Amino acid sequence: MNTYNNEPLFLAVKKSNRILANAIIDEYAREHSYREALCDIVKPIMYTLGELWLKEETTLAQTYVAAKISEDTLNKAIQKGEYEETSSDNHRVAVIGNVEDDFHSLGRKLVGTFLSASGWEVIDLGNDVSPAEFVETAVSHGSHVIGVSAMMYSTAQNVENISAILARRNLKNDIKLAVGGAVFKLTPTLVKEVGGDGTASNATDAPRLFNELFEYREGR
Amino acid sequence: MKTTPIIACSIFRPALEALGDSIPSHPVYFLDSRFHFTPERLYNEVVRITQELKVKQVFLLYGECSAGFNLPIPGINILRVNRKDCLEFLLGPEQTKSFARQRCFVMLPEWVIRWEELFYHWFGFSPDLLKTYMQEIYSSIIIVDDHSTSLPDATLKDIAQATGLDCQRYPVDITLFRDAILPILTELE
Repeated sequence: MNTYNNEPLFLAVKKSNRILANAIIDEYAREHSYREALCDIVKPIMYTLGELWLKEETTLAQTYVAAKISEDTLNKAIQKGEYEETSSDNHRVAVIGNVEDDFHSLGRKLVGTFLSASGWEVIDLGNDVSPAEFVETAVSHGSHVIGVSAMMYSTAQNVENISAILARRNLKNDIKLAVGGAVFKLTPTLVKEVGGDGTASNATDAPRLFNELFEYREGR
Repeated sequence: MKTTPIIACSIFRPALEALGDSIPSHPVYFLDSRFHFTPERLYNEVVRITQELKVKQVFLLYGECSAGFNLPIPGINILRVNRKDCLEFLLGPEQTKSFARQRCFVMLPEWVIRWEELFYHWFGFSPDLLKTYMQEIYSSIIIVDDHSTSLPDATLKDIAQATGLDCQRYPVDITLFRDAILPILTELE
C-alpha cells in the first residue's frame, strides 16, 4: 500500500504552481522513478481533479498545470530510459485526435501522455480532424484503436461519421472507437449513440480502455 | 398566454441593447457570463427564473460554451439558436471556425473589458502561467468589435502585454447577431 502523503502535490496543483509541483515529483522520483511517480502520485491527482471538475470546482489553470506536470514527468521518465522499447509482438498504436469542429486540446493531449506512459505508440492528429483522416491514419499505421475527443454535445455528433466510415469499409471489428471528453462523462448514453465502443472516466483511465479494446479485438 | 422570456448571457447585453427596436420586444433576464464555465449553475438559475415567472418556456440565449449546456430541464421547453458557442452568434460559424483553425483566442467585448477577471480569477492563472498557457495554445488574440461597447486601444495593449500575443481588433456587423436570433423571436410573435 502506498502511504505517501500526496497532499503537498495536490496543493501545488490547486495553486497552479507548476514549479513547486515538479519539485515535489522530482523528490519522489529520486527515491523511486519518474515512471512510478506518474503512476503513484500524478495519476491520483488527475483523478481527484476530474472529480472536482464534475462539481465545477476546478479552474483552467489547475487543469493546465496538471496536464503539464504529467507531460513533464513522462518526458523525464523517457529521458532517463525508464521506458524500455516495446517489443514488436506487443506493439500497440493508437490514433488520437479531436473530432471535426472541436478545438479543445487539453484532454486529448493528456490522453496521449498517459497512453505513451503505458507503452502505446501515439499518433496525435491534433484538433478538428476529419473522419476520413482518422480512419486512413489508423489503417496506414496498423492501429486498432482510434481515440476521439469531443467536448460539446454538438461536436460529439460528428463521431458518428467516423463510425459510419469504419462500418462502410468493414473495419468495425479491426478498429475500435474509443470516445472521450466532457460531454461523454455527463451523458454516458451518448457513447453508443455516436457509435463508440467505449469511454474512460478520465485521461488516466484511457490506457485501461485502449488495452481492453485492443484485447477485445484480438480475442474476437 | 404569458410572454416567453429571454434568458441571455450578459455577453450579449450590448449587442441586444444596440439592436433596440429592430427586433421584437421580449423581457430579457441577463445572467453573468461566468456561467459560461458552470453549466449546472446556469441551469439552476434558469430553473429559478422560470419558477419565479411561472413560465414553461424560455428562449435561452447562450452558445454551447461548456459541456452540459444542451441538457434538457424537465418541464421547461428551452428554445435555442443552433450555435456552437457565443462567438458564432457574432462572427458566424465559418469565421469562428477559421479563427479556431488559426489558433486565435477570440474575445467578445464584455470579456475584453473584464479581461483581468477572466484570465486571473475565472481561469485562475498567475501572470507568468497565463503567458505560458496562451503562447502554447494560441497564436494571437482577436478582439471582436461590434461597436456596441467602447474598447480602448490601451486595454488591447494591456491584453497583448499580459498574454504575450499579438492582439488584433476585428470589426463585425451586428446584423449577423440579429439574423441569428430573429427566427426564434419572430416565431414567438
